[in-house]
Amino acid sequence: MSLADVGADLRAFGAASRKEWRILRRYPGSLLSFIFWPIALPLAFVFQAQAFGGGREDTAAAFAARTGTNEVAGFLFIGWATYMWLSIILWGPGTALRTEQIRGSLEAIFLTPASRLVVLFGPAVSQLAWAAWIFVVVGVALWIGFGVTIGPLEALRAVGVVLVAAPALYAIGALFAAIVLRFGEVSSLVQGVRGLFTAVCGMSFPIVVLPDWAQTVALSLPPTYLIADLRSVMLAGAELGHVIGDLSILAGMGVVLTLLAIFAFRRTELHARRGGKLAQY
Amino acid sequence: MSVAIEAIGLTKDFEKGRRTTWQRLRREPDRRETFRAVDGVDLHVETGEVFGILGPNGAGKTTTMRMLATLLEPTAGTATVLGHDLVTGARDIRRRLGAVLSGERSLYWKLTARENLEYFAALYHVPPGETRARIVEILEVMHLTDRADDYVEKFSTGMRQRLVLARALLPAPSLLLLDEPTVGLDPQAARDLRERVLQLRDEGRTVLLTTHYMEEADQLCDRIAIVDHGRIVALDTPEGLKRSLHARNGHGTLPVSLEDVFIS
Repeated sequence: MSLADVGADLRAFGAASRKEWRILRRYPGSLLSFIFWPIALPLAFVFQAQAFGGGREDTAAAFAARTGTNEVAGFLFIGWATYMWLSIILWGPGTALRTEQIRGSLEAIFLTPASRLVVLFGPAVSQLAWAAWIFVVVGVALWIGFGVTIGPLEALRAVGVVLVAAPALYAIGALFAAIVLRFGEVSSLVQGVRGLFTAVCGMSFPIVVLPDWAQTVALSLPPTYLIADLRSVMLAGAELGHVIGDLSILAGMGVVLTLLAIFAFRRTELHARRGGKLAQY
Repeated sequence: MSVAIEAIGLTKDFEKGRRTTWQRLRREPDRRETFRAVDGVDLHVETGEVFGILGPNGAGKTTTMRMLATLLEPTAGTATVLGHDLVTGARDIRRRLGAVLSGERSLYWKLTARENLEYFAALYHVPPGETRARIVEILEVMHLTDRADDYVEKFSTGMRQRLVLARALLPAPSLLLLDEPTVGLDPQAARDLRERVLQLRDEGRTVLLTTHYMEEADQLCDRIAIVDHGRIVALDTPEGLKRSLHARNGHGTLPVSLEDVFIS
């Protein structure tokens, strides 16, 4: 592939993101759910934590000892905001592919010389705007509702963590997309993986409370590091240097998972081209 | 004259029925039957020619088109399209190929015609400096300029089909594959589209099309291959096909239509 091809594919990538963003904008009702859920979901857990903690100092101290922060609301809001972003990423590439398949446009795209990665990740990247929106809503809710302020420096560090984690997470999304191309449907699998992430990755609790075997599972999953590091930089004032070990693991997972995703997608595309499955749904 | 498409023994098999995941996990023997959709097709299409593939439903027309469009991998046989091997040079073929295979459903209905074309221009690697002018020109040619900024969902079937053809013209293709391009169009829209195909030939482009309409094939095609059960059963100019039937059946002075040839 020539340098000109790479440049052309990058432009195609931008066009795919723009196209998806334009379509999203034409359904403004969906914006409401992106305001309601980032507040309502963690809020329920905040009230639950308050009820279980009973407002006692020793329970608050136990929470701080296990999590490294006193901010129960911040801990939960960041955990659930990350969960919602993860959901978008996990669904993103697979959903993009499935939508094109159902719409009937997948073959038209595959008739062009553009890289297959364009159709996989272009639309998903446009959904980063929704992710940014979720974090903004969460930041405002924490500030107004609980007096927790996240400064620009903390936000910038969080962006750094997100960027390091993104390849691993998008690669998982791409693996789902490969399954979509192979089997046509992937919702139950995505639900299962999302359930696993919720159960062990520490969305609403520190993973130290899990049994040893579950902690081992958690430490093999990228979201665990992402959530922990976001909390560290946003709530505990950690600099990126403090979480460099975690970030290195995330980056390594990103390389391995990306290679795996590219291999899996190429295999399934070949299978689809042999069986004529591109237009089938 | 150079060759746009050269296919030798092009064959495509599909599995009939399905094999469940459970059967795969248990490693049960694969009992699916094989169905041969295209059976050793040889094609030689010259540059600048309008070549038609005629045949009943299930004859293998669309499968042949999809293979030549690089969407399907042949089970056997070889083909070069625009000088590139069908399997190893698929991406090079796609750079210079326009295709109308999937109809109006393949457009984005919540985008305008212009936005649809902008998106696909990027996918076709049209240089950014040329994109705007090329879209304006194509919209003009396809008589869509006055509706360029309307959502596609507001278009009639004929307008959507014209937009699909407009999209296929974005890469300034040397070769156009048109799979039943006038199906579902009203007579006027179908006539417009046929005129456009003839213009494309006059511009020196090669067109390979499938159709059910004899009159359309007669009017548009320089040569026609009639396919049945995945094989080419007759190949000649429309006049040549009619002449051979005329001679074979001894019709005397009675005129023979392409429909007679097809049914024969």
